Amino acid sequence: MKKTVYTILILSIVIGVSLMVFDIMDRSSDGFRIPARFKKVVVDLSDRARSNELLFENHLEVPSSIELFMQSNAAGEKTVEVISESEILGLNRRKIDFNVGQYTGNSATSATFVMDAGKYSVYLTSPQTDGQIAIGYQESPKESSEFERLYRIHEGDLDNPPAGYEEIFSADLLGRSWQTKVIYTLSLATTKDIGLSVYTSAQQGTVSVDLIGNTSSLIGLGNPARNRICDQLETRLTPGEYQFKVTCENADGQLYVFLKQ
Amino acid sequence: MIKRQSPTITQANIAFFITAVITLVGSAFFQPRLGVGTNLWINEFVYILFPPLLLVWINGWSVEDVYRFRKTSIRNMVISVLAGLNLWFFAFYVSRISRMFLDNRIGLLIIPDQQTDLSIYQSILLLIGMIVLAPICEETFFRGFMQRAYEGHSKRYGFVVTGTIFGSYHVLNGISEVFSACILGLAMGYLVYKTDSIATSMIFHAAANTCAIALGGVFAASTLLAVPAWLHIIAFGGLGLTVVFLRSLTVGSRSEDDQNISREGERMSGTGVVFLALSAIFLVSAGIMEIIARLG
Repeated sequence: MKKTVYTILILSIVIGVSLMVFDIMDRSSDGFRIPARFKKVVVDLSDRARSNELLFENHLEVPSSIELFMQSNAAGEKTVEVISESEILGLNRRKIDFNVGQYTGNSATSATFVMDAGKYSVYLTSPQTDGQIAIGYQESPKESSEFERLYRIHEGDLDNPPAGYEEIFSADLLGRSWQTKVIYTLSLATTKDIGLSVYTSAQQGTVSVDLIGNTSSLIGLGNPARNRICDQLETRLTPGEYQFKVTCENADGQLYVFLKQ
Repeated sequence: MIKRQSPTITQANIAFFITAVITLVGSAFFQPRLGVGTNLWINEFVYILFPPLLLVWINGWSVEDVYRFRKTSIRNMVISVLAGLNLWFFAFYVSRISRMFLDNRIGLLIIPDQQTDLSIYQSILLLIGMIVLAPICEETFFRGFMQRAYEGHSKRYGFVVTGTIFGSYHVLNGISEVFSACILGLAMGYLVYKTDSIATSMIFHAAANTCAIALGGVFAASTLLAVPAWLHIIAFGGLGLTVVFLRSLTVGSRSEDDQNISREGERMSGTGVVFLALSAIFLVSAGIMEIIARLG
């Protein structure tokens, strides 16, 4: 018995250490794992503190979606701010900021947003600290018809779902007070890919659409301050029941939720 | 001077407190850096398996006699597998009900907004960690080391105390896991108490963890909003069968050395009480943190 247990443990160590080495080799030496499709900017944070320091700026010839994937192996809060000359769809202002914690390997702060043509700039605020921050970005031109649809939503004409999406909920939010009100229940017998679009024209207050499942949840869609447009968010759901819940307090405007099954 | 041939309750309580604290602190440090699979291996080997093996080495104990690294009959091994598979359903049921209670009465536990996915290497490490390492390392610590120590106080109820401590330790995985882990811990403790072999609890633990990996996701997804009738039936059916299986175990024959090791009536020292209280405070604090996160 003792010999068997020790043999299993020694074999496990051999296999486990090999797997750990492969896992470490699979990561870059700095711990960043930014997908290859992204352009990458890496900043060494150890030389000085930064306050809204320009990292890079680009000019978009056509309306595009910008995908950001940010990691850092340094402790402390780093803030990445994107400022655009043109509209950022779903936002009331032309800038958006992200806090990047100590995320490496499989963890990252990520975001996708759509901008009209024009210049955008990326700034960094960070304390002087040992380590680096890596910002991956990818620009993908938007089809003009698709951009026009999103722009209409941005302007408040919310009933513009993408093809294949069906409305599951809509409401005027003014005067509503909802705490995780269940608006729709989705029952899945098999694993399924679904698409979700949440649009709100609320300019104030609290609005949140949450998809609550057991193994996966999506929280905080349709935020008036952070992003009023959540378009075609696709996710794979395992079998089970999922609830769409709305929280709304002191808000105005409208809310539309569309689902593609 | 004759060296004591078994662990004391004080040693067990000190080791448990250190293990519980270092598991939480170590996981907070290593998991984001090395991945969830590697972190599990560090937990199992370094914090859980190392202390009892270190004590064996320092005190010159025999792992066969003290931690009961002994063979058992094929019949007992088969019973352990069947009991592990069956009791998992009841443990899942208890965990599900606990979680629903917490979700509905206190609030949902929201995971921080960050992307996380497992690499293939981390997935394999996690799989081996749960099916092979956790059964060996946790059983050595809880049933081999702690149960033996608490049997010094009461041979009959040593496994009850250890099972409860084992369940409490799982508050680090979430409050909803405490009662289900207690139930599994009691069953594993009973197996060792009855068969006098830690092999049975290791096999039971591996069977239950295999069941969790194979069925946990599907069961969790199917029982999200309510506990369906079929789960009541499966859970209590599993519990009933487990009782039947456990009652059909063949009793292990205790060696002469074991008779020397086992003695009852040991009182817990002041240090032992202090460390048990510290462990309780630490684990309750971890539970309170979860409740605050749910409320917030």
